[in-house]
Amino acid sequence: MSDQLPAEQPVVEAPPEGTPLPSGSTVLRLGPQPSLKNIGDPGHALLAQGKAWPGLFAFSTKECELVDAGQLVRLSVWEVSRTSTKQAWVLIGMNDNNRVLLRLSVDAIQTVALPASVKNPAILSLDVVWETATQADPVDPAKRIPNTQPGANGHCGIDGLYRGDRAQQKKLRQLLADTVRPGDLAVLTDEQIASFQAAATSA
Amino acid sequence: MTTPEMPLATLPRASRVSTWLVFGDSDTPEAGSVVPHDAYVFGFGEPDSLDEASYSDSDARHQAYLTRMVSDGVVPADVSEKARLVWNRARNLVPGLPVPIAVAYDGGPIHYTWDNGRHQATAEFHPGEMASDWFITDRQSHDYDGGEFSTDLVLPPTFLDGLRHILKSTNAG
Repeated sequence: MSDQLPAEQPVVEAPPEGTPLPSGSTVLRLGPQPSLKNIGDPGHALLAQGKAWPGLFAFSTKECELVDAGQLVRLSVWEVSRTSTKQAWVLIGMNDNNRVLLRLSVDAIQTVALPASVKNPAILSLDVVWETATQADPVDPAKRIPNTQPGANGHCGIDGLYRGDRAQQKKLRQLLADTVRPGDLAVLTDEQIASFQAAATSA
Repeated sequence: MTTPEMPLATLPRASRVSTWLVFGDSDTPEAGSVVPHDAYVFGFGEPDSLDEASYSDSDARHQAYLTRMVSDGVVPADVSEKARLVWNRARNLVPGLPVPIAVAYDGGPIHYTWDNGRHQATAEFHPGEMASDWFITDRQSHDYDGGEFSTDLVLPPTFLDGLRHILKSTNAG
């Protein structure tokens, strides 16, 4: 993946929540999870080869519980013209171990679909939609409020990974991981992390 | 299933390894102590696994990884032990199976993937009573299947078949 980071854009309003991203868009995934230190050896070998696998797109147990409770859960990503890699890294908590960086084509994600089955008659597919980035309310940390930090307006979610039965959800995840092209996965270097930290500290 | 209790020293080698895995590193019983019922059942009646009792370096690293995920406070101990149990059963029943690509999420799950281009298998282990599940797929035929592990984490035949396909591809490749 190119080390060239997109120029930071002036803050503009994000489109309405749930609106699909237009064709041709690119999103980056730099999740707080999985943390680099929590990936086993064979995974590090794959990362070195720039290859993705479904474990990079799993929901946490807490998110699974929300899905089981019928809540809508999307996989967090950032649209690259609105959110730089540095901004995403700051927005997810400035953790040294948040280093697995994926660049994903929205068009490719939208091609991920499963035909209807006997158990589940619906056609299952993925999309990427705008989603308001939130943060803990400083007054009442139990509450979430919109995040207005630079780059927060690029927040989106990969929608649809919770649909269908468990096998279908896993098939969708496998197909999603298969959309990652060679070179679109990188591990942020110590130098990049140091530059992000320096920029965040001086801002 | 009920089985008679048996002193550790009289168990075959693979079964001794299996009970060590169930008890964990820090709580290995002394030879001669009685094996609990669940540990005793594990691995018993699988004579093909006897030659596969030795651990490779990659396996040892994986076992250490599972231990570290608990000591680092990433996942609860039961998540790590579920993953360890399934991995050890899988490697006993499918000798030569590669170490899984493992990822741990804060608070769970641990997510395993085996992949050899055409075939992929995954397993996901959650804390407490939340179901752990498995999945297999064939990219060529587009077939896929999956389900929840039973509470005693017996590996379903379909999942084992998927792992054998992965091993076959590994050996062919």
